[in-house]
Amino acid sequence: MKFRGKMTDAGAVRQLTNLASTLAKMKAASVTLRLSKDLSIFSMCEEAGSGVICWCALEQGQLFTELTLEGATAEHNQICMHLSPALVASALTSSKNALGVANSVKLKLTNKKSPCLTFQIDLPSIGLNPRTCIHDVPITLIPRSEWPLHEHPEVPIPNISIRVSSVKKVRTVIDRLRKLSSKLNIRASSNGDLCLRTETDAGTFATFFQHMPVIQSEDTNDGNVQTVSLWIDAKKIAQLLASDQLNTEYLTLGLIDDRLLHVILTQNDMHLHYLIAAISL
Amino acid sequence: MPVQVSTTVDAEESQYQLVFRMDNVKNIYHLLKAINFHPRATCFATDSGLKVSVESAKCCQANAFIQTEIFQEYTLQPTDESVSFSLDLNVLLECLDIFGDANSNSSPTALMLRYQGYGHPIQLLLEEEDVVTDCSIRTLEVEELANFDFTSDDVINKIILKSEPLKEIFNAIEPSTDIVELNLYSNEPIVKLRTVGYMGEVEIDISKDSDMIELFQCESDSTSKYKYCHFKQALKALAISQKVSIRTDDGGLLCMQFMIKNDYGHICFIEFHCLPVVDDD
Repeated sequence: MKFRGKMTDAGAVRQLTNLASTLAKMKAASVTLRLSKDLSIFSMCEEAGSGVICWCALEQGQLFTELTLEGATAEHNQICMHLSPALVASALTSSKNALGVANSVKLKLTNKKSPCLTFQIDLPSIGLNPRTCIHDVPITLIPRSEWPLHEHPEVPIPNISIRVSSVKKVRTVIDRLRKLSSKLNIRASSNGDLCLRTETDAGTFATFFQHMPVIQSEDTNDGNVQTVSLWIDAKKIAQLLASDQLNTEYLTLGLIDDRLLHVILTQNDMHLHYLIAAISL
Repeated sequence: MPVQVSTTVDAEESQYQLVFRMDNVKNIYHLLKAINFHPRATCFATDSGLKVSVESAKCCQANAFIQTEIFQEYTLQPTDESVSFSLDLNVLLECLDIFGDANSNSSPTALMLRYQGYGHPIQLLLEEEDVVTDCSIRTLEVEELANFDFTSDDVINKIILKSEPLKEIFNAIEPSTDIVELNLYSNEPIVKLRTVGYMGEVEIDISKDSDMIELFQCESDSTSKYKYCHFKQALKALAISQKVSIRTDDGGLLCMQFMIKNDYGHICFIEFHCLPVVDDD
């Protein structure tokens, strides 16, 4: 197996750094990275052995100006590994110093006593001598038999999907509601209304957002407003939004009635997907 | 700006005993946060405004006074009995801070509170830009609060100090302190603060001529001791105040009055009473 990629675009390095920092903040036990000719896909399971609940696919063309990949076999031309996003984030953060950003960041699959993903960072320097910083991030290669466990699921088309631009406000409201109760109700309507609500012995609390762009809704023949709602664990969504280091431009909330909330954090052309199962009261 | 203080029966609002509106929730949030040393608060609505009381262990009590001038609208129905209710102060504070604006300089959150009377919940409406939060907080039975009878006749000593330098002094007190002793001496006119804990004793003398003392009335030397764990409940109010008046009576009962000016130049008061520790001699 062979992998070599060269990043020369500062924006791409920043994007990858932010993604690694976000995944690190989510405190996942470990994150899976699947490399293929087209995509680098980071994914995360809630617990070892359970399905993928979080993933982000980045196009190799956007990340790397040069790429060499030889996967497990010719037929399965992929490399899959476990690694720590915190170590990836700290390696990439060192690509910025007082003089500016790195000239290039090279990633390489290496074997230094154990398999590693090596980050070779060429830093700018005042003198004639270039400075190179090398980070070896230890990885665990995933055998091909386990690859299906790390593929992200096909998410069913949501009943309603709305876009939320006031990310900071939603994050603050959800954080307050989480302190009041462990369960949160999310209700979206095809007229662009979004309601975040909870109930406890101490009272009921609801925040209403209006005129949210509706990305997806089902056609109702009678022209009535369609409404979908579900209850979720407030802590999960609060932690997701608190981990966000992406400079998220907007959130997309896809609701599948009483089953699933599909959250997408979008920054530029990068989309981080997160699935939260509905809970029953 | 004109304040509508209405005590006439209004056909539309007659179902509510109390309705008030505030353009900026900060004006009330910081006052209530400063007395949040116990989860239960009791609110009394009178023609002069709102009084919110918090009591701990029957030996220290804080009262925040918010005059009608602070509100954009304050409507109280005339009733035979006083309008009062208790509620969970932690829950109220989370609601008031739902948009996270209490501590930031972004657009202000407007507040409206409505109370129908005994047995009904408090209805809160908070609005920031186009987003509205609607809360219904359960009210609790009003329990009798200790009456710290502090009449002018019994006052023997009174000092008024600037809060800023006093804050610095109190911030330096070791958290494990057991007792705070307040001594006022008329001869060499000084205020002597003494703290006693297992780490040792600290004495701080403040001369009457010092810049931080604006008024020094000491009729007879006095010494009174307070448990630090009760005394420190006053420090949050001190932190947001500009001036504080400290009075003791011959029984050693402490009454501190904090003068707090908000961003609009309005003045509110927080009063803090604390019973002394009686020596077992």
